[in-house]
Amino acid sequence: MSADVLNTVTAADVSLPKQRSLRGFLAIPQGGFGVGLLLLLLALVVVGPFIAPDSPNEISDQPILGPSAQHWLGTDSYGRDILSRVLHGGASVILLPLLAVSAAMVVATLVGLVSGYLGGKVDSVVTWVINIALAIPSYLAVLVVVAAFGGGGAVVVTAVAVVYAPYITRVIRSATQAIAPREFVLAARARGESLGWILFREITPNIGPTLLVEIALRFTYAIMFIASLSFLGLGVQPPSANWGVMVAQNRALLLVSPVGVLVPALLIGVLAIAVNLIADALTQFFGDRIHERLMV
Amino acid sequence: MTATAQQAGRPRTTRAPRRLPYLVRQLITLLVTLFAITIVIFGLTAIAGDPARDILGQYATDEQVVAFQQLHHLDQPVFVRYFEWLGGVLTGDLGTSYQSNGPVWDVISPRLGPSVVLVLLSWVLTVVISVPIGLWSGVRLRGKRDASLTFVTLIVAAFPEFVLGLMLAILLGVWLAWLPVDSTAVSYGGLFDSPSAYVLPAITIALGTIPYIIRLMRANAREVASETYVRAAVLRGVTEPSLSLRHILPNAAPPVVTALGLQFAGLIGGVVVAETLFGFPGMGQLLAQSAASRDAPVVEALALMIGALFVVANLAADAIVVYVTPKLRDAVR
Repeated sequence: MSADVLNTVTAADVSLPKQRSLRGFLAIPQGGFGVGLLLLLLALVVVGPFIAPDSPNEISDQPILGPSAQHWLGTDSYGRDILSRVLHGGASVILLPLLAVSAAMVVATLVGLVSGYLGGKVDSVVTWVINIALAIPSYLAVLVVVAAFGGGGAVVVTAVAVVYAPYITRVIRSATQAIAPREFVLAARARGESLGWILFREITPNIGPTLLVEIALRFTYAIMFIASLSFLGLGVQPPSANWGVMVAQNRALLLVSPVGVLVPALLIGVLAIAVNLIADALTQFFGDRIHERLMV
Repeated sequence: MTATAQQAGRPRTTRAPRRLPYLVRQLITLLVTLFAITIVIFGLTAIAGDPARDILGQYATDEQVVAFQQLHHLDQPVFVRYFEWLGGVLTGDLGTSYQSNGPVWDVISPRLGPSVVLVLLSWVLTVVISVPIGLWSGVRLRGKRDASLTFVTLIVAAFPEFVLGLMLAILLGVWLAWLPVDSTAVSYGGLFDSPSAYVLPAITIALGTIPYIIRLMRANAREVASETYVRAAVLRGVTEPSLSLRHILPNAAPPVVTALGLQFAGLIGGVVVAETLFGFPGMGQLLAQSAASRDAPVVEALALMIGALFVVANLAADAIVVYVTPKLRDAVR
């Protein structure tokens, strides 16, 4: 929080890209396990809609049936087949956070590179904005936005992207500052290379590992955050089949048929775990220490 | 980058620059941050435009819309509304709810007590569980068992609170039937009449922060445990509880204290989700409901109250860290 935490990153904390193999990454237990889980889930989400017995909003039977041979996970309070909704409901759980993180990454990378490299007044302004933004809890900011603009996928994605951008900017700015004084950057400057060349050809490749770790970490947070917002009724709106929405709707069936709530909830958990394991493995793989230093 | 000082060519004086006392500087930061928060909160609602049509529904007549705008002063310029709102906040008037049409304070006040108790409970749970585990694993645990603890914290950390809460509800509420899965009981009777209704929400909120604090405590304890003065203490014959509690904990604690202040933000999300999940009648549930029903005055008031608490908690954590760390204590004088 305090500004001095922004100044504690040194070049030693930025891992430089080395020759490392994918096999080496998968050999890290977290990496192999995470990638495996993620592939399984992606397969479920992609193939799911084609093998689902019913369409997601079709009223196929009596409401609130327990698990049976015909409805493996039972039916919900409208009589829709829960298994079919589970098989249809994964895409938005993955895509919305992906959109939010991509948008935030693009903006934050640009701002972080420029402010970290140029320093001076630009950097002071950016740091000031970051410090104010970090003083506002993410949940509060997003809930205020939803109260003002109404809920829904687009609003939530925009809000989460805006809320996450300062956090990402902080990491990229610190990494850039650590790389900027190194010889190859100074050499490029002496050669008279343009700002764009220095930022994207000299610095960006060297903070690549940090960027990757940041993407994976943010993606984990965004999955949890947006799923929670959908659960709260603020994100994806019913009747869409979405795991978060399903948990909120089927919560009423908790005492009658817990499986119908448990399965979509667990799938969200497993997705976040898979990405989090990958983030952890990436941290180990690259020896990234910025995230530890900045306490994110 | 900060070359201006050198460029000015002034000889360096040995006298330290005149600075305001630490606490005064912190208070100024606090006020500036709070002011910024009010602008962000109000600005966001102002950008969104007039909510009258959305709240009254598509069948509202024009007269109804105009009456709504007049009641809530929406017909006035943004700046006037901002200063009216700010003035009201400072004098204890939080405005009028769009949904109940009564004072915002009347909507919030019955929910304050339960939420405060719930947050304190979960915060105490977090500290009591994660600090000892983190300390112990940092100092003692090595190898496979250490790796599996890290793995478990990683997995728990990746479960959103509502998933953790649901699993607890199914395990402890449905299968074992030890605890109520619905905490509505809190709104009837006194604050402490239904203690069991607090348990599941409190554990759920605490589980959201516990893995993070365990990992931080563990990492710091491990770093401190390898310091020479700890080894010197071992050679002097200092033995275990004393070694961990008197030699390692005080030096490993400061970042954890900062994090516990920062984690207050994590608690907010947990409180909103857990209260909604368990039907707990607190401020978090109100916040989610009001956001969904676009009751901006209630959301603004809650956001401001919680935001202020967050800022104060952070500064308190900062101050505690400064005053328990000798190096920093001298630096801020």
